[in-house]
Amino acid sequence: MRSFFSTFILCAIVGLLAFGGVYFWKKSQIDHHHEHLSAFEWFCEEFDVGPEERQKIEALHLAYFPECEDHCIHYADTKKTLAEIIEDPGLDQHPEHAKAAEQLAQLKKEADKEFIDFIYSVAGEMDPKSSERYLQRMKGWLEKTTEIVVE
Amino acid sequence: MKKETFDQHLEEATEQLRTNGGADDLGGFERGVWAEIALHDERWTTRVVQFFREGIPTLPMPAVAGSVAIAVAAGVLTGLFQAKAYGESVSESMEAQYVSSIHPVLRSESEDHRHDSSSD
Repeated sequence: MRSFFSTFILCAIVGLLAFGGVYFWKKSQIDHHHEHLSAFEWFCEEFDVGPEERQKIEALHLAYFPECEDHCIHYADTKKTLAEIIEDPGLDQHPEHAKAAEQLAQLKKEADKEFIDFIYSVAGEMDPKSSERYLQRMKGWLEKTTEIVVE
Repeated sequence: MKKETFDQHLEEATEQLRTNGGADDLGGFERGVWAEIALHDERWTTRVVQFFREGIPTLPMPAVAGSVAIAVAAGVLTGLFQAKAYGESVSESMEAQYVSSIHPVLRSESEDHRHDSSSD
């Protein structure tokens, strides 16, 4: 026989120990798994990319990266220029302001187009079920990039 | 003094006090009763402690074992559920990392604009 109070305390301690043990064990497994996982390896794992598909898709990624980098640097420079113009009160109504803003919007459109073309080319190498899931997930990021630009 | 004896004395003392009238001329017995009453602490903290010491029901061992087993099962399930949620959040951050490697706008948000040779 045990009192209700001591039973309650015992259950709480045992329950917390079980929770902590299981949670930290699983967490360490997850952390260990993701520790040395690159973004591309995550993509292959998440969308069940097989070894053959992987080679083709990796080649697509490697071919796309230089173009992506150039665009990225161009976009970052234009964004910096626009930020400098915005900070300068003397350039408030200046034509340079509108020009830089237009250029940034144009680069965003081009970046989105490049991104869409790329994800469709990648999806073309995947099996239908995975490609549909991949496209759906990636398209969700287009809205997020727009939010980032607005911010 | 046992509780039953105390209760009995209390009733007798109360009855005597009703018949006697004033509290100034209490006899030895009544004074003893009032001393016991004064010792009986009625503060809520003391009553709570007393409840846990004496008033709470006890559980048989099978019920205790069952409660512990349920607590373990609940702890394990909650741990698994929380670990799954953690895994999903890690996967989401990996997805963000992947997308930032293929979308110029997201890439420009990070300081590093270059991809490494191992497909990022």
